[in-house]
Amino acid sequence: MIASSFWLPPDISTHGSTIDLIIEYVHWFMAALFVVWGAYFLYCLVRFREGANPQATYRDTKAKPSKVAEVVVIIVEAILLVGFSIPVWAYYRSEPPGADKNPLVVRVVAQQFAWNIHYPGPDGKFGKSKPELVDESLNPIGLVDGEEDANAADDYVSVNIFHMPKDRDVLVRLSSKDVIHSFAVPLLRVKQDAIPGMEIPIWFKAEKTNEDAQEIMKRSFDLPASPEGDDAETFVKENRLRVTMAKYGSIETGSTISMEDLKTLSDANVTSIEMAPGYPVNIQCAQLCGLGHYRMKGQMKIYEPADYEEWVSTRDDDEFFDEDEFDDE
Amino acid sequence: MSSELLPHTLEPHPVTGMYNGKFGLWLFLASEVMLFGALFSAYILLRTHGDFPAHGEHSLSVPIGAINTFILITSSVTMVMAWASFKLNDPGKGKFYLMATVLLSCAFLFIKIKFEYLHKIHDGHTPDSHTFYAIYYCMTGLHGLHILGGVVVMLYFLLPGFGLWHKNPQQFTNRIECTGLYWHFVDLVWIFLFPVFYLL
Amino acid sequence: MSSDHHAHNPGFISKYVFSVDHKVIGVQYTITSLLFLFFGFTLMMIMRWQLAYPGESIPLVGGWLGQYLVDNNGVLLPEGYNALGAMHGTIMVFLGVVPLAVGGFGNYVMPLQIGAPDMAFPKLNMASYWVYFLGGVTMLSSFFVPGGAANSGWTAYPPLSDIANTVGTHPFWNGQTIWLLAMVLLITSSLLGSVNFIVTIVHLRVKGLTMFRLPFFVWAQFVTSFLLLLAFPPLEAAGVLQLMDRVFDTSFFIPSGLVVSGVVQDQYSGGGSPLLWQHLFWFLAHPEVYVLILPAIGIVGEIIANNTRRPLWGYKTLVYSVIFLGFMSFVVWAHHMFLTGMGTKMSTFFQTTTMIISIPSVVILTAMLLSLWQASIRFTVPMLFALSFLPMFAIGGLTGLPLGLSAADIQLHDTYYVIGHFHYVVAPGTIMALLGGIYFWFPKVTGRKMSTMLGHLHFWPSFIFMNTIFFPMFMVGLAGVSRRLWDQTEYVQGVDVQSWVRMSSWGAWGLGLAQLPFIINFFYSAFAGKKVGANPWNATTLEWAAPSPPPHGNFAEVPVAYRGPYEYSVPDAKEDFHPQHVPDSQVV
Ligand code: HEM
Ligand SMILES: [Cu+2]
Ligand SMILES: [Cu+2]
Repeated sequence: MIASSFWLPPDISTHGSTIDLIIEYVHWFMAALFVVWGAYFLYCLVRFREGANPQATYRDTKAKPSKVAEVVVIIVEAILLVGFSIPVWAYYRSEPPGADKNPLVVRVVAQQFAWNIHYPGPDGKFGKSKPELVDESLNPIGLVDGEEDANAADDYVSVNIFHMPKDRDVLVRLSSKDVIHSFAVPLLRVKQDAIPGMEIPIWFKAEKTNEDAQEIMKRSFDLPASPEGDDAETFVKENRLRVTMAKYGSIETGSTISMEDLKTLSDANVTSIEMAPGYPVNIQCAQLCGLGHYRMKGQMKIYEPADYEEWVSTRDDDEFFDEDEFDDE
Repeated sequence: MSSELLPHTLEPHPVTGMYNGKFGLWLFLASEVMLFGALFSAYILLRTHGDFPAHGEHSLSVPIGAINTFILITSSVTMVMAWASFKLNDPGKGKFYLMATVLLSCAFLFIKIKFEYLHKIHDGHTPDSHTFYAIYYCMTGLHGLHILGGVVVMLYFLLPGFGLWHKNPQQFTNRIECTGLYWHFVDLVWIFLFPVFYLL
Repeated sequence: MSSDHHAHNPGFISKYVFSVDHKVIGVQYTITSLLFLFFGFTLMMIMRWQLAYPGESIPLVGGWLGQYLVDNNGVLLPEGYNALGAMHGTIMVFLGVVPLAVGGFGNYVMPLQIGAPDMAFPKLNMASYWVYFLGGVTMLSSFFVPGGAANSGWTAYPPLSDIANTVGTHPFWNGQTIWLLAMVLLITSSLLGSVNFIVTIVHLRVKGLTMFRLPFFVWAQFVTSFLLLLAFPPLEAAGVLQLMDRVFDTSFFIPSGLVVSGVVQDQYSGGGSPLLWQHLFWFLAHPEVYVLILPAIGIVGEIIANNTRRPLWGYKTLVYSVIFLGFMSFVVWAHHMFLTGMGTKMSTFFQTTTMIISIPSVVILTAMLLSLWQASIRFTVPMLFALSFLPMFAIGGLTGLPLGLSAADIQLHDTYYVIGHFHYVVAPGTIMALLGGIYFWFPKVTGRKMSTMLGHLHFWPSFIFMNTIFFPMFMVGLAGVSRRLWDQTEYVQGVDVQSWVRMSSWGAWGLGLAQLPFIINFFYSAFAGKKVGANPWNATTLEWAAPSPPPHGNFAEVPVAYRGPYEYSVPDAKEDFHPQHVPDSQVV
């Protein structure tokens, strides 16, 4: 993938780089310690093997270096803690964007095995919801109708697709209607348990749109030698979550590759193509929540601010529910 | 091993000042403190977190609770008397007081079940009706099981276990002492349960 | 106490089955827990197939696993994966490592090391084993009930665990409920055991064996016993509460307004707290981590002292560190809960305690490493295992740092990074140490030595495969792959690291194969290994003063301890070791 450090996925959030920095520093620190220990360890194994040193020394070694090592460990840990982790956490958990920042406020209600994204609509107020109104296919969060609560009239619920603009603070009020889930967006460096009976606020801001992310994550893939056979089938299977990043003959930008496509490409003598994840900013569930835990995935659609407004104005608020087309099999 | 006993089965250890059984029992009680401590903490968390009935809204009967408290405290006294009697080499009296303790415990359990549990259940206050009742049944039930366990042990010492008295009175008396320690602990738990559930 | 039925010739049953001899009980624990370890590992070998080759039929055993685990084609079901995962964790921790480290090694070695004829309460000891055994059988039986075994993870977080295994199952005999019952039995067994250990260590030491002359292993067992004694009861309480939630529909962990699959859960009154469980659980489960590791550190200390032929460096420092670890382990539990909505104050507290607890671990490791300085190292098989423990435990410990810093934990929590971290502690760490311990004390138990050649054939592949399995998990985790996923290729991050995942899987199967030399060695040597005397390793601690194998009652004559535990290479002496029980007049 891209040159993000320590195997981490690319980071497209504003706060994420500080988290990455901590991870990076800690790992350098760990590596340094390990190398020093390891070198000393190997030296001892060789230097003080029975053959080389038949007579062990009884008295305790003076261990100045070890004292030094311990003090260094304590100091570095203290720095990491006080200088990095505590302040980052304070931002992550204790400083929600105020009204002056005009954050986009959204409720996310997790359930087995989907993410319900509840938008308040133009009035900016969430309608009430009631457990007994829940209908898995028509009204997943049990929203009351507009007559009972005017705030609910313009509300909008999206399943598994989280639409949001870049460069604007997003404040999520996270909860669950059944078991504990965990809202994890690796590219945004966001993770938070969704616990039934609690509404936990989290906030983040994206610096990049989906297209930007795809641009960062695009890679060149060598096509299999033959458009048929096991290799080709494996290629298609392994890349079912990726889309093309350019137009290749009749294959449009943004399409997934099928067996026929391989044929077409082979006929056109294309040997490698550029692809990127079709849903670059995915939402995972990070807390075991039942048999569908592994497939409890959503995606973020991060737009340019103008495009986001466009989406808001074109969505059908009367329907208030978009059963998404997002499923890759 | 020959037929001798392990060290400190009877004579106290110079450092701890206890024989093995007594030391073991204190450790066991430490774990019991953690067990009930965890449940009391759970109670506090549920109470501060959820909609618990305020004082007076729940229907636990303070007089019945008070009677049971009285019964248990009395049983602690008879337990001490039993141990003292064995210690003073008066097994007849010892057995009498032990029996008294058993009877008092049975009275406690009888009152608890007949006049409290069954009434509450009859009134619809089942464990699934409210977390208050859930934790009430859970903690008093667990306490009741401890009482029951004590009764079984005491009956054992009164009937099949009494043979030990003739073989080794000191060891027998030690066991009664341990039973007593356990018993005081169980009483103590109740002394906490009673105000927490009935009065607060 | 145990005297009556041993006076006359004891029958087979009372000698080997319902024995009250700590050595027989120790062996019973060892064998049983090794079987459980192997079983728990087999579950993981099956799961690793699904991860390496998602959706393909499991070879060899796929057809045998039954309808709750696999489909008609022998492909592991998602709920089957969850069940195997939960059972793997539970079995490894509660039925494998703890019973082996404490029940097995502790029972066998500790009384010998303190010169005691037996444990303080032999009958209680027997009861612990049989309650453990019953707990194990109960746990395994859950594979066969309708709906299969528990599948809510070894952590059993409600509300999932409250509502799991309830549809189409028996109201009582179902996976999660049986799991809870088995846990209550296992906890009871541990509690009985820990009382016994503490009393034995405090009361039954022989003359001259002061607390600061105790072998380090005994100290490790001592602190471990306190952890078991004080940490397990809260889990027992939590288990009872969850049992009530499941059986009586109480709402300890059920908040109001739960809707599962579109159905309002109005059998519950609501008003409970899911987090209550997590607090109670982790209050146990973090100390539990130290229960898993301390006995292993103790074993490593013994082996290192013996094979470096010099006193363990900083014995007192080690002892104080272990005690400090024990205390601290009770105040770090919520570092497992950073992402449950914790505010800055709480997180600051728990990450600070977590950083503090890392210090004694560093001290312990440093002390062990310093013991190598100016030593005369013998690379015996047990020593190989003990040495390999050091760097791998270091990896396990170090990777705990980013998880303990709550900000870094945001990205790493509940990913494979966590799996890699704690396995480096418990598998390449503890398991290697325990295996080393088996090689070390085998001659004491059987009077015969294990084969060195087979030992090497066991050690090297195990060492390599342990790292092959677990090192890739760090990369997989950093890439953002969550744990407990039936098929990580559902996510593009998972697809990207699929070759690492395969490497782990092949490593796991390799590790399975690498245990063959061990199994052969174990049985072969028990009956035909080279006979050895009482002290084949020229060791100093008291267990080597007893005959191999020690008779009932252990010592021909009650030993007296004249010195500290690791008097190796005392200057100007004839021998390079001074056993604790030999009076000064006889050693110089
Ligand atoms: C040596 C061979 C072992 C292998 C190959 C192995 C592998 C694994 C893997 C891959 C997982 C993650 C499964 C998932 O997240 O879906 C796992 C989970 C786990 N393992 Fe192991 N493991 C081994 C030994 C152990 C040992 C010795 C212990 C404990 C002492 C242990 C305790 C656990 C626990 C507690 C979990 C978490 C279970 C859960 O998610 O509820 N494992 N193991
Ligand atoms: Cu989920
Ligand atoms: Cu922990």
